[in-house]
Order: sequence, then C-alpha cells, then structure tokens
Amino acid sequence: MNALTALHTLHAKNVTSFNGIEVPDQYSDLDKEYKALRHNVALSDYSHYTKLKIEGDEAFDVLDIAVAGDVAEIRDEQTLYTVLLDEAGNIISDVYIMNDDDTYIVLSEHIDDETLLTLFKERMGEFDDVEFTSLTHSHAIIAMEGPYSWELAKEIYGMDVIGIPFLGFIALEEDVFLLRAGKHGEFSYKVILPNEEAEALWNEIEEKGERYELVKAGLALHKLTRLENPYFSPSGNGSVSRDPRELQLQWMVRYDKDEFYGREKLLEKREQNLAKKVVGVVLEQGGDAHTINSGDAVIYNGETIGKIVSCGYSPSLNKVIAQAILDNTYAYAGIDAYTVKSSDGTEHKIKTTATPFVNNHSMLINPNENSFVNPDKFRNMIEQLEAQQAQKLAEEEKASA
Amino acid sequence: MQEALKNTIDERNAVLEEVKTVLIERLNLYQEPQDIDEDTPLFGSGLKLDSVDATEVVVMLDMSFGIKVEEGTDPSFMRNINQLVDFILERKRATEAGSEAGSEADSEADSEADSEADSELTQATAAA
Repeated sequence: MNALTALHTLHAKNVTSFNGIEVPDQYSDLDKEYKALRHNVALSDYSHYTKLKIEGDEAFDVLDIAVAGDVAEIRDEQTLYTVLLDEAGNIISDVYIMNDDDTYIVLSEHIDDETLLTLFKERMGEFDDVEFTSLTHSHAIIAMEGPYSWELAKEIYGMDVIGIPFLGFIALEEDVFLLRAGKHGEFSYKVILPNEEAEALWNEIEEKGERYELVKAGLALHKLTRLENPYFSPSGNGSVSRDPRELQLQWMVRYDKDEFYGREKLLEKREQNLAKKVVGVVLEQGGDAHTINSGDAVIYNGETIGKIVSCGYSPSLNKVIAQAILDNTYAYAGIDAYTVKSSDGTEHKIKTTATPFVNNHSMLINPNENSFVNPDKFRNMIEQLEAQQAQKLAEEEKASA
Repeated sequence: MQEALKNTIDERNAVLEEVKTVLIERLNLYQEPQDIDEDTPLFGSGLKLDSVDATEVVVMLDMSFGIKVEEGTDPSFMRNINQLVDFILERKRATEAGSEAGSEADSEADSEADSEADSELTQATAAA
C-alpha cells in the first residue's frame, strides 16, 4: 500500500507492485498518457522509489565510497545522478543523491529499501558517524512531467520553480522537496512529501492541471519513453550487460576519484579492449511494435554481429526503434549496412543512430518566454520565431511599399 | 568487413577521436578519450557543459573542422558526441559535394570561356 493506493484502485486501469509499493501501471490509455508526457503534462505516482535519508558527520564519506560518481560535486540543493557498482565493477542500480545542506537523500528506483540499506552498510568500512532513516514508506513521490510541467509547478510552488536547474531541487519543508529530475528528456518535477499530504496534492495538481490538458499516467508508459531516451534499466539494457562501458554509461562514473566500490575491477576492465557495445537502431522501413523483438540477431554480410536488446514503436518518430548490443568493431552510429533477422526469418534493414532517438518537445520551450495557458505568449520557440520572421517580413514589405 | 563499411567506420572513428581530444583540451575535461562514450550527453548530465562551453564547442567546430555555425542553426546537433559527429560529417559531405559541383561549374565555365575564346579566335583568324 501507499498513500494513494485507494485513489489509484478506484481510478487507474492497472495497479502494480514495485519494490513492495503499489503504484499505477497504466491509468487510462497509453497513447493518451504518452501524448501528455511528450506535449503537455502527465501526473504520475513514483512512490515506489526507495528513499533513504543519510546524515551525520561521515555521511559524505560513506556515500562517496559507496557510489561511482563524485559526491563532492554536489552542493546544497543539487543532485548527483550516478550508479552503485558491485565489486566486479558492474552496475547494480542507478541512484539520485540529493544534497540537502549535507544531509543526503538517496532515491533508487530499482532496488528496495532493505537492499539499499544493506549496500550502504556493507560499504561503510570504518566510518560510523552516520545515521540512516528510511523515508520509503513514510513519504510519497508525486511527479508532474512534460513540456509544460514547469508552468503547472509554478502555479503551485511559485516563481522559484523556474530557477530550478536540471538535477536541482528546493527544500520546501523538512523532508519535503521539489526535485527537477526525470528519465525521459522532458521537464519533470517530483514532489517528495509525507504520505498524509499526498492525496491533497494529487487532487490539487489534477484540478490545476486541467487547463494544461493534464493526463494521469502510470509506469508502463516509461518502457517506451526510456527506449526513446535511453537510461539504465535492469530489464532493458541492463539485461544484456552491467558494464558501464558496454552500456555507454561511463559518464555516470568518476574514474579519477581516489576510491569507490568496484573501482579496482572497473579500472582493470578499462585497460582491456571493449568486446561489445550498446547502440541505437532505427528500422529503415515500416514495421510495428512486433516486427522485431529482443534477442533477434543483427546481421552483417550473413554473419551475426549482435542482437536486439529492447525495441518498440516510437510515436514521436513514427518508426520502430531499438537498442542493440553489437560486436564493438561494428558498434558505430550512422551505419546502414546491417539487418535484423526477425523470428519468421525476414531480414529488416536498419540504421544505427545516436541516442536519444527523439528531440524532446521540452527543448523548444523557454519558461521565461513561452506559456501553455497565457494567450499573450507563444507556446514554444518555433512559433515565436515564425511570428518574429513574419513580422519582420511585413515590416520590410511596408517599408518598401 | 567490406571496404565501403570499413571506410565509413574509419572516417567516423577519426572524427570521433578528434572531437573527444579537442573537447578535452579546450574545456579542460578530466576524462581520457576512451572514457567518453559516443552517446554521452554534452549538457545537463554527461559532460555537464554549460552555455559558455557551448560557445567553445562552436569555436571548436570552426577552428578544428572549418565549420561555421550560422545563427538560427538547430542546436540539437550539440546534444551528444555522436550528434556532433553526425553534424561534422554532414557538413563535410555538403562541402565536398559543393566543391565537386563547383568544379563541374568551373569546368563548364572554363569550357564556355574556351568556346568563346575559340570563337573569338576563329573570328579574328577569319578577319585576318
């Protein structure tokens, strides 16, 4: 159960259990939820995230050894997105680490409360001035996500929202935060708050979100959005490799840090030639979500050079997209010489490509200039630019007349 | 591997390596080239560049690759290393295609000039 389970049970299409917490898997219609996330605002319950507060004089030291990223990089109200490695240098999970005035809040989507706590305790070494408090079952996470989520969040929390940078947050009260972070390339604001306040906020967002054409969404949606904007996923790219180099996730690792769990083996691997690597793939012609499947072979000149890791149909691109793990010799973007052999034996031409696959709509929106609800403002920078050009042209014509 | 694919990969690899090396030098990044994956984001997460660094990337394109980024160019080419390399390769191909077209145009212009000269020469010869 979580704070909103009763509400979701009444209204959501499917509710699923994640890390022992019930959250909506699908609220209404996946296409509707997708469109809201990519073009307007989606409202989601992320309470399944494990939330661990770590404080004490040695909290920094424990965290800095426990994770592969550089915790010293984050100042107050900043968040580090990094990975926890095992001893062999393989990724266990991605984590967010929020620095709230040297008290840290760790958020993890893929590992439960008990496992996360055990991982940190195993890595404490001689440090003991550390206190762990789980917020997982006492706190909910409600997310406003999509190109105009900043505007809705601003209505609720004020102008400060506009100033929150990516991976920044505001501490609203003790253990209540507004965090800007997401894994789909659109604006995304997560409110971490006590369970008893969750339902009132959910209802307020739903009510105020109406004029943004807000749609309530579940987690199933993100199987597709995270394929379009790849992140670490245990059931996706993580199912074929946990090596940061093979997954192209070395940016989540700080090699020059003196010490972190898994560093030694990772540095050994770094000296070896890379055997395979995950790349983005687009089906050149037609197809639907079932044309190719995970495990299908990638072929070059009759030889198997890799396989499909995860795939789906991207509504934004109107194309079948996939991640494939290829022999490193062939693992480059911009190649159209390969095919994918589907289970019925048909070979489909593909092109390898840079990821993320999509140019997110949020990239076209400047919160200081655009608005979804203010008729005096343009909705995005393209509309704004076109209007400016039309005005310039009209002025030139007038002057020459 | 067939020659055509090998050439395509070699060309891309050469640009990838140069982009990584130049970015490390110009922006004082701590990474070694092999630590920067091709799909690494440049801004936000990834290399965590900022708007000042974006200007450096534009200068880098000019200094190292002779590419001038015009005002109004869709900035999505700066999203990650691979997209930056795609942009460089596209511009390179456009320049090469332009040069070839230019050569053909030059060649046609030369032919026309030659014909005119021939014609003038013919007339002059006839007049003589």
